[in-house]
Amino acid sequence: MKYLRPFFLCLLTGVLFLMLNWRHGAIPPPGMFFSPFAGFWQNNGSTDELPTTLELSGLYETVRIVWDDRHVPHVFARNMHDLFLAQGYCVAKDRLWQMDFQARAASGRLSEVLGARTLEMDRFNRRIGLTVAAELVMRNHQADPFMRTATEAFSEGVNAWIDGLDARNVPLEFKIFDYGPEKWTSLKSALIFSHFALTLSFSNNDAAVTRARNTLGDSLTSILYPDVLPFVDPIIPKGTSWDFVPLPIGNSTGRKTPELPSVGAMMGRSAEANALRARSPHATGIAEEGLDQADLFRGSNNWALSGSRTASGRPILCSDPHLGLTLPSIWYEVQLVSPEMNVYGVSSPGSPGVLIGFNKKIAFGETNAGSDVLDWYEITFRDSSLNEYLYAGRWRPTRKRAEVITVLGGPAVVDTVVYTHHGPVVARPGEQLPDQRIPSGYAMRWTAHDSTNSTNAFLKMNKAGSYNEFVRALSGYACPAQNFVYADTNNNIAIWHNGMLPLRRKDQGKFLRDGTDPADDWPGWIPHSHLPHVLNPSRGFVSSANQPPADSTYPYYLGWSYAGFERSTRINDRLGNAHKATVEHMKALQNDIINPRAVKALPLLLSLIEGSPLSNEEAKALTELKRWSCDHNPLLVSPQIFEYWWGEIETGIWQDDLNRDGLKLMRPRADVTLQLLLTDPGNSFIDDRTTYRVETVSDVVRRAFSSAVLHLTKDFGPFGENWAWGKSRASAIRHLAQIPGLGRSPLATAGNYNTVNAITRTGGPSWRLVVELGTPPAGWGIYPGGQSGNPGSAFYDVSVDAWLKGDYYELVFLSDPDQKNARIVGETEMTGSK
Amino acid sequence: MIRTIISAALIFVLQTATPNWWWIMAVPLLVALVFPMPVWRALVMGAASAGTIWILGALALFLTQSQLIATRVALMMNLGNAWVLVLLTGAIATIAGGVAGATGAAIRSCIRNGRP
Repeated sequence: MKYLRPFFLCLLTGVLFLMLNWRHGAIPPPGMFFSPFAGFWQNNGSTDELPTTLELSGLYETVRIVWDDRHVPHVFARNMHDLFLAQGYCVAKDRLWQMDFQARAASGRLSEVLGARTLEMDRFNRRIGLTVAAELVMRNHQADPFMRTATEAFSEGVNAWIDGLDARNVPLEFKIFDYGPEKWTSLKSALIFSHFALTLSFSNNDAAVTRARNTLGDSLTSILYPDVLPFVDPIIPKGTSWDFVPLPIGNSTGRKTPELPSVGAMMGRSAEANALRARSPHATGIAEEGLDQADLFRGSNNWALSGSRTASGRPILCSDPHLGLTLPSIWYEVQLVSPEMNVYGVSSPGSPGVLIGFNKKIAFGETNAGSDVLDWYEITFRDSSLNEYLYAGRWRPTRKRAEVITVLGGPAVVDTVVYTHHGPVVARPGEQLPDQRIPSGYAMRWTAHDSTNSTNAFLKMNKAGSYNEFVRALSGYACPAQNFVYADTNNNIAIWHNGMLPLRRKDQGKFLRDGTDPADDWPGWIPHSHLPHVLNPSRGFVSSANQPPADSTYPYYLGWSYAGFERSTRINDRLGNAHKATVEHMKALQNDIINPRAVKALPLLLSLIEGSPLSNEEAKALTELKRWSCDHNPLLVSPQIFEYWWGEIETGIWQDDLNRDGLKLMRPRADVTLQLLLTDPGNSFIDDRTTYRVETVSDVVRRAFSSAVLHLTKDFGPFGENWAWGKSRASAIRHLAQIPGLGRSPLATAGNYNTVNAITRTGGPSWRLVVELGTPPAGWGIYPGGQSGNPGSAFYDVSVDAWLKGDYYELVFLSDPDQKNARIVGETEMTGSK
Repeated sequence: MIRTIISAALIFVLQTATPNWWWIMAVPLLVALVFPMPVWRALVMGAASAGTIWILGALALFLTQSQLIATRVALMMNLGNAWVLVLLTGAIATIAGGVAGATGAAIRSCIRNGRP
């Protein structure tokens, strides 16, 4: 009996210790997490204090870092090694968890620390071979002395910061998820870039369009999913002559892509349309799901104005990449100065150098190219062992890579990925992955798997001082393909649709391919000098907004899944009318919220419902729309009414034709719908084939309007301020790991994907840059976040409100660490430790 | 009282030197093992020393540099008010320190009673 109480208390103490020391599902270990000495309490503003001196092993010479009032580091080093080492140290100081998380995500290792909830994501990233791609990149870096120095020095800097960490100052997210940072390596830097390739070039509608073609036939497919998009003004101005002799590509050498035929001519009650109506999906053996059009919601703008169009006579370059918005932000601002370079801009946390920015002579920025760099090849396996596959009439061995996925709190999962010479078989025969874009039994050919050295291209760009040096840098750039805009102090402006782009016959990459036929392989690459580009066009500006790169005179097939006319048309209209443009005009254009689709469509839509009997709510909605100037102002209800209305119109036109008897085909693009409404409102697609009567376009538009108002009322209550665009759409900047409380929401934002200021619910301009190329250059920029990745820092989300308002910061561009500037708040001297 | 102060001082020094959270259990347990006291008094000693150090530590940080992080963590935990975190921090240490102190006293009493 006398031992009972001590025994009970010991047991209670043990249980309590375990409860406080162990993680419970998503809840971090309470003892560690709540400790004022080591827990979340320590992730406070003290991380914002700037050290005056630091000893860093590995430095060759002294490095000086000057910090401005937004805690942007301006790194002054005497050699490239020290420059990148210091960059690694600075970015790790502010963004270590983000870097670790993104590298883990890319390599399919999140389940090691987050458990089974991320298993499918890990499996997918391993199936598509992101690590394989990164290993190739790293091999390239190792073989190139400059890149080896850059990436290894960067890693040294990151690891110097990690070595100095203790339990107190480990980033908050490590404490929440209860794991620690790993040493940084060059492979992780390469993985960060592979992840970029996934984000920007995994464009993937091949299976969906093939299903559509098998059902609809070639002619209708080319109309509903056209190669040449309506209303579009291509990146390279129409009429630009190509200064090269095209390479022959099979029998399609030099063949021009036909102009888009009028929808009216081809979409009338044609034989194809009738055939579509008569054809049962079962007759084709196709009964498939629809496909997402997520690729259309990722884009960017960039442009450059020649001095002939600016008030100052100096060129102005603007760049705003639209990406998913997160906290910590995807970008980290930095100035890097050494005897070889002086570049300012945004870097990707995890990689050396600057990706979008300017130096003393040039400025550069990117938008996503959108050209097709990913094809699917149907594989004929010899048997279910998947050991051999048919190619050119012979059985060839596959290569297998065993991926061991460690899972926290569960057994490890071994996933064997089968590789052919085309690439990995992402979904095995008969296997359906959660990502329905992935066809079963097909191998993926993707340029991310080609040996590349794109980081080197950026570093060369960072150093470039002339157009020729810039082009030389671009020639080494591979993936993800981008539209690189350029301006320099010599008043040159240029744009390049740039990357490794495969030589293909027309439409070769649009549909699923035959993996047994060598004739279907990519025979090579479009030579760099043949890529669409223009230098100093006569119109005095260059621009891109993810639209098609060139008109039908361009001799190579590049793809079809580009952004529509909306942003590019608006930008080109505004720039075309600019004669004395200023930096303020350019900022206003980046924040422009006019929706060109609404501008084109609304007059027609309003005329079609004129005089219709309307309910009280419908009448109020219509009154608002009639006085709307097509701007996506967050305070107005009209943008949301228009968006709902447009959505219902698309459903009314296409649902009956493309979604019946279990068949769901991908819906045509909005610009195809718009063209149909504007040029062929009597087309049979307008009629709802599920009813006995023949509906007119007025019937469809009226019905869609009633339905839109009904849905708006259901979603947001009676007509009123709850319908306002900003409130009803409610954008969010989520935490990278979607931890509640660490993001910013709801945000009443302006714009939408079709406006130049392309803010969506969870994405938008992740960095806005305006640079005037004077001597020295002057830059203005902002991104929705802050330099610090610590949620307890004042610099975590400090810029979000200014970004929402469309404000900018003047960027502090220094040529000397001793240069006087009122916005400098601190200096750190780094010396090598003995 | 003096034992509570000794325990609190030791917790503070050790946590500052090596930031292991479990000093709030180890120190009261050891103090109760070394100094004779009834179990209930050891419970109070452990609870008061650990609870005081943690709640004062949390309060000091909350009132100076950690208000922002506490606000975000409160949002993350759906607590509504960041002050709840100060109380929660104190409560964790109070319970852990109290139970550990009581255990130390009980073990000591058991060892002494078991002597020939």
